[in-house]
Amino acid sequence: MPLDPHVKRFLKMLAAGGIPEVSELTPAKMRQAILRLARAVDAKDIPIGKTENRELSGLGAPLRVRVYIPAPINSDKTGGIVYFHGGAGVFCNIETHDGLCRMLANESGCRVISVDYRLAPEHQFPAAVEDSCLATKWVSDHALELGIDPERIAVGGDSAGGTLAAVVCHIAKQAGAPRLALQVLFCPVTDVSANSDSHKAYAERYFFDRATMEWALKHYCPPGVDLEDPRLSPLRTADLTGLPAAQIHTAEFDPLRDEGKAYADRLRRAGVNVRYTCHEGMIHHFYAMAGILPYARLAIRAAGTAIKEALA
Amino acid sequence: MDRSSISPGNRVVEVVHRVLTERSISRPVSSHDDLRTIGLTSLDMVNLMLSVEAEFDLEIPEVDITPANFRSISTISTLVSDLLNKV
Repeated sequence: MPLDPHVKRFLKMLAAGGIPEVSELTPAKMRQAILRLARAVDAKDIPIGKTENRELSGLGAPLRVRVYIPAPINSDKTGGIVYFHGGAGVFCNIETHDGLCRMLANESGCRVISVDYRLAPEHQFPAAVEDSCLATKWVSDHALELGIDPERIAVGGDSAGGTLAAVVCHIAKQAGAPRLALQVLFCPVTDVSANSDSHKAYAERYFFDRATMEWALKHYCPPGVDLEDPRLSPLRTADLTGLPAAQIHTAEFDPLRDEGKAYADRLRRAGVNVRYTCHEGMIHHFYAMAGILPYARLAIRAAGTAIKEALA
Repeated sequence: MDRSSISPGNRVVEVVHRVLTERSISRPVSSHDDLRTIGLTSLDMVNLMLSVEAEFDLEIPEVDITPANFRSISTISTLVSDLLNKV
């Protein structure tokens, strides 16, 4: 498929704006730039039953989460999605993914808990993994109070947040708790040492480029870390049996496409129930750009419906 | 206030100033200054282009999304006037 025409216009804008000078950006500047971009491209004014900001006692500092409650709000228990935003572990936050989480809650009928996990380089790997596990356990422990059916808890995330969701499933499996019914991964990083065909084909000019990835990885990983650590590269996990059902989304023009598909294939071979969708004509991060990409809205609606069915 | 009573040129100035303010760039900008040189990054430029589209409720044709058209307040104003006249 060719590029979606709206994606093509966005890429043309990026190209016309000049070559990104990512290596010169500090994490703080990058965070601000992405936050401003998100305001321009995220879906705005999506109505939602209710949102609530909460603070959990975290590791060292409070861990913030935002709970999205879809309408109608009543005493019926819904499914729950613990959601980890993307941003390579260095940038993005609850705000940059607010439109996406609202739509996911509305379309799936689930309460969504978006997690403000600690970012690198202030807090390097595995801080984000620890926060993700902590938030998931908190949701599981407080499910009834949150209006969530404890048997219907999913984890979800995009990009590096997809990695976190996948890794939480591995850790929960080893620990025997919390019980997770589903993992929903949008364009996940599954192998940070990958050099697949999609990495080569879309290394530049497709928004999330190799320079940004390498820049972020350098900030995210402490010196000497093993890039094949399954908590960084879940595709490298030896045993993928017994993991929760998976819904994996990739984008055709995304460097991460092949590793997302490889993870779906390996899960399936391990006997996991997998639903895999490659979104043709799309780029990385499309799901959080519904403000300018009409297709993103349709894709999230379909993803939400699939979550609803899986958690029924 | 009905924004259509403000000239397109002045509305472009407002949009550019909004983007510059978000970036905390406070130096005075003349209509022919190169916006990249002033300090806007490529992501800022995307913001600016999307803000121009939102301000004038128009979709800039792909062929017009060029560095030259977005070099300065002056070139953006010319582009917007041309596009508005085409409608």
